[in-house]
Amino acid sequence: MTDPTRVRLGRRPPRFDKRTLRLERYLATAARRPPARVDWTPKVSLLGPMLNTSLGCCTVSAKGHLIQTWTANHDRQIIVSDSAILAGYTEACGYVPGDPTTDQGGTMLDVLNWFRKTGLAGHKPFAYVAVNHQNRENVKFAINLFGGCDVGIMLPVSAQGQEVWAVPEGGAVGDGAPGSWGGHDVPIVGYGLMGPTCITWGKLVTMTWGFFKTYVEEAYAILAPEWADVDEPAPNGFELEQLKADLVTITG
Amino acid sequence: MRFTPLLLALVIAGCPKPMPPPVGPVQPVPELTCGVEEAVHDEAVDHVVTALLNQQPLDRWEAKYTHDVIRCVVEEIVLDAHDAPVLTGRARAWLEASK
Repeated sequence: MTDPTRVRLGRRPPRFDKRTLRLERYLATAARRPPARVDWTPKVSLLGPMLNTSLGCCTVSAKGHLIQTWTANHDRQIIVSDSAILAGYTEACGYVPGDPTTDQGGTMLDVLNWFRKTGLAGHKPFAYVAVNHQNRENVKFAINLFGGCDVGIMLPVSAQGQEVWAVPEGGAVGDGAPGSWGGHDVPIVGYGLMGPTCITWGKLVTMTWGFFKTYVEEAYAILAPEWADVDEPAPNGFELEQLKADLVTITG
Repeated sequence: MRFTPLLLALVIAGCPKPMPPPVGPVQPVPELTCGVEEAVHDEAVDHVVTALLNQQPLDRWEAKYTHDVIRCVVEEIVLDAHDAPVLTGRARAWLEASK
């Protein structure tokens, strides 16, 4: 269970950009259906909160946990240091260490753009694409093909007492209302029939698909060289070069 | 070429006629999980997870979804929620008790 006094969130309301690439465009190249279950966590070890228990830096910590997951699955796990997360939170979200008034969290799209252009601890993704989070197959594809999916959740207060995040019996109202706790950014690193699993506050948390459908507000797949590069086989045959070319066309 | 009775019968009958095209658009067959549609399955998972976490009996949900569906959902929980020891412990205990 999560003690809300010992953790922080930090995702601000989403900002959408019509130029953001969408995953659906590329799914035609993926010849097969996503597997029923995917789990990228067995090789991940020594999970830590990456400062998200003391600062509202979830948008940066989520990228750190993705880097850890990608590299662990190539048997060369890299754990992004707390000092790198702090530097990233400062650069991407304007946090000034020692000034709590600047601990205001971040917008996922802005942090993704910073991640792609500047990088976190020397790790810069090639690109990211928006994922239609209301389409479960797309979400599964993203997790399977990209080694994870970065999602923004409108956490309800009811999640604070849950070992597994589920929609409360009364539905998404009252303590179950979307965002009644706050906005949060987590990397989804696996899924099964009952739901996806994310990393947050240094641990794995499973949520139900019902919870995902009710509370997730935005989702992105990130294509990173730590996961697939021209020198290494792209997982599941994803067209790495095509995605990179399209990104150059749009963003220059 | 020798005509066997079977070949001769086929020649006389001619080629089989093609099947008529289906009327109207073909509806995709919804994929079932635990024998029920996705939305029902998701709802059942939320109810079962919440009941187990709150240490409530599952009888009420068995009446709504059937015992087989609830059993299937509880088995999924054991498989998929391996990072939740309290929930999976209660799920295993329920499976054992409901044998």
